[in-house]
Amino acid sequence: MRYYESLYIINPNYEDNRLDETMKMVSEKCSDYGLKIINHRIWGKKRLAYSIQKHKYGSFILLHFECKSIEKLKEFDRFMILQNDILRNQTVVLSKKPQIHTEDERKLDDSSTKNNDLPKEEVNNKNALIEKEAKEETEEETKEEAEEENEEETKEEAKEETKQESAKEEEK
Amino acid sequence: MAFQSRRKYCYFKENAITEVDYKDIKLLKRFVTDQGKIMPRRVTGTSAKMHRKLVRAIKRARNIALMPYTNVSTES
Repeated sequence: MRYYESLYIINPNYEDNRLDETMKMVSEKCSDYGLKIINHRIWGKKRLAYSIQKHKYGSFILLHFECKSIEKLKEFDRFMILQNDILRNQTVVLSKKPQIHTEDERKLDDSSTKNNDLPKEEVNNKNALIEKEAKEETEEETKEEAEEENEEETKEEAKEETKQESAKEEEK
Repeated sequence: MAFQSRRKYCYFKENAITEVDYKDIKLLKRFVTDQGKIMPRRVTGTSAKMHRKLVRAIKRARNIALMPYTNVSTES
């Protein structure tokens, strides 16, 4: 027994009633092929990364199901490809049993992932910035010191030169 | 002048992510160039194990039109 996830795109021009009809048709076909549906929900209308059959948008629908035989799965896949309403479909094996979807869970998931993702990045960036600044400061300090030393040397040299010149003049 | 490169780290190890979902485009976009090419491991610093999973996820996302194969066609 394996769990599968199928994501398919329906023509974006279909309104709610027709969307529901196609979803119903798919779920009926699923039961015909002996696939146990766990979740079947609309994922949302999204912009496609590239146009499919000259459509720029698509209604994405997510389907989680359980299947015993690969042959039935192949038949189901064939059926999905042959539908004109369905622009594209992709079935993927899941390693774990999918959770039964509810509205509240989805909201919680979104908020938790957003909160977890952003701050760590910022912290890392900040740390990197602080490190950079510290390095730059140290480099500047070393540079300044080196310059000061150079200046002192040049001054001493200049003094020596002037001394030598004065000595020469005295000799003359 | 010594140029010091920024420390590389595996994003997935840092955030304790073990599986990459092809529907999570926000995450996948971090590992793709503006053109839509998959960035090499030597640039991103991802571990080999997670890079393989990442590549599979990106290719799946491309197949279902969540991510572009190339960005040239979408611009025109």
